[in-house]
Amino acid sequence: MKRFHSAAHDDANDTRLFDALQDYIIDHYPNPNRVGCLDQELLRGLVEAPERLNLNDSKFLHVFKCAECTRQLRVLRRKRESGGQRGAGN
Amino acid sequence: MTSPSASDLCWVIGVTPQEIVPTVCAAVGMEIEKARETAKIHLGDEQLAWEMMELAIQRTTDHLACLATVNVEETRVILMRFYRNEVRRRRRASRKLIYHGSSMDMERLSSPCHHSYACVEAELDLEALLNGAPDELRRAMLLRYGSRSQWSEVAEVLSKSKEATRKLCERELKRIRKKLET
Repeated sequence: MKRFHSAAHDDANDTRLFDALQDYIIDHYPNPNRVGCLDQELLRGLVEAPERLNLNDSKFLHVFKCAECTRQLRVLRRKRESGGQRGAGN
Repeated sequence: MTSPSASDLCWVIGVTPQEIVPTVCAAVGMEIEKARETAKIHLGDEQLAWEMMELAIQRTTDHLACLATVNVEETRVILMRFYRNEVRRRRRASRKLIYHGSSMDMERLSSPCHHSYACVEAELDLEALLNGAPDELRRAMLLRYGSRSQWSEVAEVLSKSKEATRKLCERELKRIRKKLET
């Protein structure tokens, strides 16, 4: 099944690509025991004030391989959007 | 059976470019014992180590081809990350076969659709891919994926132009696109 059809249908922010990547990670990297997960404050920081975090720390890369952290990020971004803050959407 | 050496494994894979061969061979040589133990403990067969190490070498080589410079320590980290991922996948597959080995499971496991997912999964490991990447690239991808900052916002954080920022991530974007289009 194709998750992503063509770059031609995407916008300048590659929104569809990142949406497809998010779905892929949620499907392929379940982590029900939350092994190696970032704590809630760090995830909130990543969504609300990422410039204040040291994103060079490799622990943040965990989100690329964790369905649970990805889901939490999605919830936090929705909260951010509903609060009228920064960002391009979820 | 005689165990292949690190250079045998690199030769079998045909590691290129040539400049990285000594680094990759050195990393393999330092990690091969640990790899054998891991295979024995987690999969019950240390002979599987060679096959899994070949895959890890191939993925490491692809990964290193994207980097300007590499050293043995970084290569060891990347190599073993790919190796552990392979062990994990095999354990997961093995668990399915042992505990859920009904005919339906077998059908799912052998279907072309499932097979293609497995291939994608085997290759789209951004955590591993970005682990040895330049800091700016990692930050940009985290900002875009985690925070969903727009490229213009990412550019501001990195003090670059929007175009330069997207260009910085282009190789990873292409890689993701290619895998998700499969």
